[in-house]
Amino acid sequence: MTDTTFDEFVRQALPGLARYAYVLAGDRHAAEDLLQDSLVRAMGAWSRIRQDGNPVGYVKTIMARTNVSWWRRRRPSVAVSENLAATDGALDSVEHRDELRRALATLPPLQRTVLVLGFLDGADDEEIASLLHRRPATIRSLRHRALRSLRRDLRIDELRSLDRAADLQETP
Amino acid sequence: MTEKLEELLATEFRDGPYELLVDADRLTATARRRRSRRTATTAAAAVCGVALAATAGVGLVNVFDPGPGTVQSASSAAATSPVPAPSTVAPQRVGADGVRLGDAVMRGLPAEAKLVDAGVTAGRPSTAVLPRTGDRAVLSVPAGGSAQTELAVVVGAEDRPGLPGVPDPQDWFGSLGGAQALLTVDDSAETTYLTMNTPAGRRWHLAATGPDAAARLDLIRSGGGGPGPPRGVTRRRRRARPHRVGGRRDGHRRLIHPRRPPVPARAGPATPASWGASHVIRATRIAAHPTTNRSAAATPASSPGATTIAAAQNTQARATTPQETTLPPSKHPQGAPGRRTRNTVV
Repeated sequence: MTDTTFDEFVRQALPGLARYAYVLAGDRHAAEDLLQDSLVRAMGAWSRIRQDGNPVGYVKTIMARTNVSWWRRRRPSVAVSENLAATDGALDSVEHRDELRRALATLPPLQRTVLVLGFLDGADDEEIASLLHRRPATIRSLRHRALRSLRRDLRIDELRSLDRAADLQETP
Repeated sequence: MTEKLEELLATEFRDGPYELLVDADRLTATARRRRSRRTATTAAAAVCGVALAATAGVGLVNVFDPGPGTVQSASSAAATSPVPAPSTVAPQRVGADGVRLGDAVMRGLPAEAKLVDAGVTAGRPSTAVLPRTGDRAVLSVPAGGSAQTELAVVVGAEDRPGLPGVPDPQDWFGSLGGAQALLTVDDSAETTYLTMNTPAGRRWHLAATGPDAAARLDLIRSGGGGPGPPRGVTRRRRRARPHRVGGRRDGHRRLIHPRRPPVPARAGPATPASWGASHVIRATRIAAHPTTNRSAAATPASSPGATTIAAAQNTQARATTPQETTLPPSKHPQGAPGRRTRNTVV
């Protein structure tokens, strides 16, 4: 009964969980591993997760903690930015997004997880701190470092000039 | 610009092409397989941990346990050795003072020693610690009144059990023809043990059980050997003390009878030719114990007072002829009895 319910849950929630794992990991293969590890853990505690009533949130929490866990950080990995397919036709947007993904790929897992939890889930610092077993000040520091690193890698001056140029072009 | 970057991040995470195509059935099957494998690994690790802990615990116990080869004082009384495996060869009496165990012969036993039937001994557990294997014989000797002293003899055993009790080295150990001997007394079990390793490679285990410690020791000595020259020594004189020979821890002294007539020298082999062997541990009693005296009187054909454990393994070995002579009294200025020496012709 428990296995059947878990299978049904996986079938229903897999698309969202897979995307969440991909966003957290930033790599396709790492995302598959992260998703599988999280599901293995969730299977072991499925009776408790089912009683909690929010299995999706529970699994996402497992994913976030697994992504920043010490054991996963010990694994040798090479940050490789993938050439994700562009979804819009604007050349500047494609360039910006590609640079952004490359910059995100260089972030440590903990900083990336803080950004994902903040900008995708909309969680505040206290919630992120509670979820990752860190202090809120630590979360703020991690976010600040992540944004500073992204700004440096994204060549903010060029972006700013591009934005100004775009603004000038739009202005009649 | 910070707001711009945050907007870019939110858009990227929300609308980015992070679609991961994963088969749900395959994923759940893999997760279930990994889960079972993790459970099995955990169980195996737990079993290994328990096994290691048990092994370490047993090793720790063995460190503090005296072990079978060391002295055991109190626990040996309650401990009973299992019923020994019956020997394939039944022991046989050889003459009046000997018993044959397989191809080995033990001599010097008291004449009143009776061979106990193996069927009787096999049914009851013995308080004596004896090897499980080897040819064995059990003899019963009356020890005064209704008391009996029982002597268990095992030869050629493969296992080597430890001897319980307190080691009690004897001065006649040096006259065992080079054999290594260890005698222990376990008063709680009323048993005296003797184990000997002969130079020929034969291993003897003797256990005398009875209420009288002196009787047990005498019986052990009669079976294991007594004072005498080692094997292979030709006309070796033993320096005898006139009034006391041999020391016994129970305070009892064996005295030489001052008017004992000299024993004439005896020629000829002391044992039949079929028993003649090179593996002979022989001992001549300078002052024989009364029990042995009775044995010697009852068996004049055998060497009087001599205790011999003969093994007839090598029938082509050199014949041994123990002879006893008495030195002239003139060499004893104090009129001490004549020293009895032994002339062993090899």
